[in-house]
Amino acid sequence: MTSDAAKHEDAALTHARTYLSLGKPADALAALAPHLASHPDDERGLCLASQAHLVSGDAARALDAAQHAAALTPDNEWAWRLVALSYSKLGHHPEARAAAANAQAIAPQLWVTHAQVAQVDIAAKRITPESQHAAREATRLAPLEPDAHLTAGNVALAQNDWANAESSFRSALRLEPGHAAARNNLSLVMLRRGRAGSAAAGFVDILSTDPDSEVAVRNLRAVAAVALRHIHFILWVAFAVVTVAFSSASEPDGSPAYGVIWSDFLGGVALVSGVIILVYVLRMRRAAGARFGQFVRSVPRLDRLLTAWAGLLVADYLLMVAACFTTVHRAQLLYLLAGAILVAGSVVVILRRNRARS
Amino acid sequence: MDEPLISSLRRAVEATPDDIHLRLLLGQLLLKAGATAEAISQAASILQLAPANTDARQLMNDAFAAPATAEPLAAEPVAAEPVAAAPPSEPPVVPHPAVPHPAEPAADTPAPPTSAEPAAATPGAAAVTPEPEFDWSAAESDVHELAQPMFVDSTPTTAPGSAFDIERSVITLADVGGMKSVKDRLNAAFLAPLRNPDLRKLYAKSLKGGLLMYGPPGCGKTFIARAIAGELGAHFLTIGLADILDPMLGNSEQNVHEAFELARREAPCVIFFDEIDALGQRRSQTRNSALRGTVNQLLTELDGVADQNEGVFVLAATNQPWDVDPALRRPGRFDRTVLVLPPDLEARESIFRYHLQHRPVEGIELQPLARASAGLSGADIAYVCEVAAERALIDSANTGVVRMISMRDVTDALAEVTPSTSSWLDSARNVVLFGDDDGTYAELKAYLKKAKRL
Repeated sequence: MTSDAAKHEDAALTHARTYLSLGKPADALAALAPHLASHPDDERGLCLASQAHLVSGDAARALDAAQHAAALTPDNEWAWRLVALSYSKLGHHPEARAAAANAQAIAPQLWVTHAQVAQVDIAAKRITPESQHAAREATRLAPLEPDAHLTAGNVALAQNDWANAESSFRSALRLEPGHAAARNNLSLVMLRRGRAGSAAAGFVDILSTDPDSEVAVRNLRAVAAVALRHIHFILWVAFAVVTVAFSSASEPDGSPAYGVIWSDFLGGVALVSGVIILVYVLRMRRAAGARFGQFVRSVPRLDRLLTAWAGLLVADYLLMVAACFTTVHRAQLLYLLAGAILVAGSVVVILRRNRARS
Repeated sequence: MDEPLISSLRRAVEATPDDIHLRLLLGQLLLKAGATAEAISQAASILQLAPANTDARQLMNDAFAAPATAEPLAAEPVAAEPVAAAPPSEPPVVPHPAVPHPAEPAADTPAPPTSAEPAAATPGAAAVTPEPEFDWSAAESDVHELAQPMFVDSTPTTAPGSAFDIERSVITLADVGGMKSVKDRLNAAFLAPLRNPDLRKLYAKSLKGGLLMYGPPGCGKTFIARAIAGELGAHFLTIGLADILDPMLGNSEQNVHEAFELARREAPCVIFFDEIDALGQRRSQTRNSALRGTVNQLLTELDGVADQNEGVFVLAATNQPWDVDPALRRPGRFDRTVLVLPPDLEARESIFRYHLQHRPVEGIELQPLARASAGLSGADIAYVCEVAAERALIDSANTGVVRMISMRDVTDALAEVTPSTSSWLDSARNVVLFGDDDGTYAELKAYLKKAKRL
């Protein structure tokens, strides 16, 4: 090959890499097409093509290109990693695991091969001691690589090991503060650990820099759902306490003393449940900081069912408060209505769940 | 034989192309003479001028229904000469209107003995297909003529010694239908200071800085950029990522410099960066060092505008302004922004008119269409017209009777097409909700509120 031809070939590959770094897989493939037409057996071109297909969501074609490259150069760890990733995307986990292990055996000195093994196991939802070892090896080989820490965090997350997951994601963010995946997964850990406010702030942060992130929008909805579920539960408990008390009361309804006692009792229940809710919301607000307002304002725009749910909970609490200032008979009616509203809230929860599944 | 008459009619039509009666007469004579394709072409031209002309429609129907055997005299010499130019299996080919017809120069110069046209006719094939069939080739030729671009003057030319195409735009803002708010904003932010040098001096208004247009895809940002160039009587130089990117070290920066140098040489010139978010992506988002150098070069060139670039007007367009490097949006660079939204009612009517005017249509009411297409982008409306035309074409092919594109075709097509702007508006909503701490997107916020998306 002449030096000019070699330069031209490298130029095509560099072009494709640049387009891939810009998130333009179609342009990368267009840049590679003439090169692959004249050099159909160039493993670097095939690997780049496989990568571009993966970015554009075409795992089957990515697998074809990667397998071709791996067949041409069986000791090419890049090609095997791409084969592993493609199989993983296609849901063929045993084949993905075998290809990742092959890449790991070819280049054990590279952190990416270990990370690939761990990632394949995470995708298969089958964390083994090998996966954990691979994740540790990746961070040992590349302690300054945020993605290595991300992989270790993901392995811990898959095992519900919140402490280690949080530590790994924080390490990744220390190395690259704008790392969207690490920020997202750290926020997920916060949510799982009951720190909904911090989680909300994290997802709002991601959306402020990447408004196209559907994952962050979905997770933000999940935070709102968790918060509402919490409030819903408090109101159910308050309702249950009052209902049990009503049904076990023996005094006649018409007695003035009976009315006074019940008013105080209902007022006490409403006050206690209101305080618990307020404390919960204030704690969320303190954790979310300046992002809390954005989070609250965004909920009605992100999900109408969430808005309906929140509206029902507010209505329910107002009925509970109103019941404190009326006769016993009316209070009973209001509590019946409050119960119906709580049931309606539960129906909204079921509707949301069904919608998410479909 | 009507050949001399046809020839003189042809000359007359060439001299007065809008004379419907002459065209009709010519078409009828051509059909009689067996020149079906030319007759179809004439009928199509008449329908383009007068879509409701029933004689023209009749002529087109007759021409399509005419058996292909009628393809003229030219068939005879070929029949005698077994040339294998046209395989028997091929359908009869209608000569392209742009190709000189052998009969045309016949008045003063003899037609060459072997012309391309006779080879097109395959008498054998025609003889076995007496049933009138839809002539795809004729239809293709017909559509080709109908679909000529509306604005043909702004042909791009490559400047000597440069890889960039530069053109003289003839479009002005008057050619942009509707979108009054965008035009007003353009005038205030960009055009008024340029047009009033005395006032500019009085108020010490600097010309430094470019204009960034943003909005959903397919809503006419590039068209507006061309219109601005036309408005300023300037050359138009459009730069895309592919024009700049070069894998060789330093070449991308050199390309940016050359683009600006060319604009300086050809001043007054509008230099338009399409998809600036790709070229000027946030430097924190890209690990590609070559691109960082390119952005730096672009910043250098932009900063030099006031001193070196008299008469160079820098415009850029993006669908994702939130991905543009903030350095590019600082004062003196792309510091003025214009939101180009999906077309308003008036603009939608204009777009429908533009895309249907060169097609055979009947009974089209533009206003109801414009009302029913709220939220669609210009590209979506173009697609609606394509789908409607396709429906009419397939129907004509199935029935063997050519029919016009009707209102129903367009409304059915409209029902099929969903706005392509929705996903952009969802992203825009997230930007306004979570990333607009400094009020950069106030205009967008107002629009989203009005559109009840916020």
